[in-house]
Amino acid sequence: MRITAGVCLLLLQIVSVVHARFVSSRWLAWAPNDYAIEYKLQVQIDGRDLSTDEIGKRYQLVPDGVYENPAENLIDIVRQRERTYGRNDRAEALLVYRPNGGAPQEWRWPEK
Amino acid sequence: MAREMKSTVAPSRNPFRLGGVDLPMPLILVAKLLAACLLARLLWRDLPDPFLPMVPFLDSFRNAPYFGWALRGAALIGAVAVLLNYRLRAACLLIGSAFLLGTLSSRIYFENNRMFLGCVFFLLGLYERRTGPWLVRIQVMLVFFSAGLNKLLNVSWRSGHFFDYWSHFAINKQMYFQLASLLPQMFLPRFMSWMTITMEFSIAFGLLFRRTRPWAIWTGLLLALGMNVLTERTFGVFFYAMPICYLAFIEWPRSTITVLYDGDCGFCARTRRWMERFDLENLFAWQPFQQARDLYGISKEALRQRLYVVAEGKKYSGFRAFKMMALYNPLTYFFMLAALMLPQSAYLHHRSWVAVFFVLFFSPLFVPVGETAYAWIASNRHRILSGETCTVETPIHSENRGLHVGRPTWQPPLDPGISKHH
Repeated sequence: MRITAGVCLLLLQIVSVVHARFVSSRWLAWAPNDYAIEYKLQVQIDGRDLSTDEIGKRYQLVPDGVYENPAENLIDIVRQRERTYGRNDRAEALLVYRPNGGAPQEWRWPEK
Repeated sequence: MAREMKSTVAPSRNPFRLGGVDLPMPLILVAKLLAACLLARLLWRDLPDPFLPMVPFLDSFRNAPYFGWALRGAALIGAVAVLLNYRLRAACLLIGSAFLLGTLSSRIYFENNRMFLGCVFFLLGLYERRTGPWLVRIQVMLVFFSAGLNKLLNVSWRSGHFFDYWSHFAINKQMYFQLASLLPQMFLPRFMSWMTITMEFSIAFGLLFRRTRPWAIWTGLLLALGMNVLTERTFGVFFYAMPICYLAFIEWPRSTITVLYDGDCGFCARTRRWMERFDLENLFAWQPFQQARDLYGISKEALRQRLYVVAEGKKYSGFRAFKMMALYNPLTYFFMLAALMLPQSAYLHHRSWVAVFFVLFFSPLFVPVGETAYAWIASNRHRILSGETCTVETPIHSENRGLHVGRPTWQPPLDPGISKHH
């Protein structure tokens, strides 16, 4: 029983590592500090820009900084927030990020 | 007799004692050091309330304040229980569950080092004699293999662009940038990237085989040390937790370790008493060679010159013997962890230096220095600690006058326990 549970935990991680090969995000996939994403997050609700504190409360993220996971992890956070707790807020988010020092890229919510 | 702690022995409540629990020595040590790390870094306090969980079901606890407190309480109680040898496996399961649940219940909380801690504790809690330490071992190898693979398949890592970019805000050693400026453009970042990838794969595969394991562990230590020296970061608790987990790959001696010393030397006797104070597990059986039944093929002349340690049929003498005694003594690891975890002041960032010292001290590079120091002390032992009686002659005099073999003037106590109370 104990061995089975241990093997299952290890197998789940292997599945997660293999799955990560087919997607851009890296949740539970052992890619520690493999990314350096410089980002800036701006959010508007009803045409008003949210302050740093408001963004911090809404996503538990600082609005700009360096994130050491893929940008898709950041996108997942904002997307999940807006699809669940904040789905009635009609928030508009703009995430500008530079993955590993490359060219700046943008992601917007709502997605088109 | 395997040095597995028998559950029939009443567990001690001394946090530094490892006896009385049903895990083998290295795994108890891993659990305790990680628990100490968890408490010292207040990691239990960071466990989250559910917020944007990875598993949607956990959202149903979002407005339940007890959920986060339950996780924090479980981790705290579990860590204290591990240190006090109270239901160690159950306590490990509790901590592991708390960290894994915390990771699943908040995408914000997710960090690889926290997940690693959760997995290792959980697997320690699932220990069974049949698997031995292999669940924890596979966990460590899996992390390195996956990390190496992720880097290898990432074009930014292969080209060195990631390292070049990351170095500008992560590395605070000017020497790195000076060196980079002397070399062709992108040479150093590319070299560092490929070196990291190679090291991670070497660790993952090296840990698999007994013969390559020491090299893999040294590679792992150097990787952790190198990153810490360059950045002065601990990457959450990776800097502490990963080296601690290498202990799961160590073959601890299955029988008592014999220490053969010159019973005709007061300094040696005092050394014995001092060392026995720190031998909480009674791992070492000190024997004056004059009274030892078995000299393990070591000549009396050699034993008169140097102290010998015999562990699992392997013999170590002089500085190497003391080094092995330190490495096989669990207290050494508590001491090293404490030294590394001391708070750093704004002016003195000691952690990297302490880590460099430890790695250097236990590396083969330090052996010549250690042996020189040992030889000096050994040859002057009759002058050091003049309060002790020492009747041993120096080798030159001994050759001329004959030796005191079999007629020690100082009789060591037969019961090593008695000598501890002197």
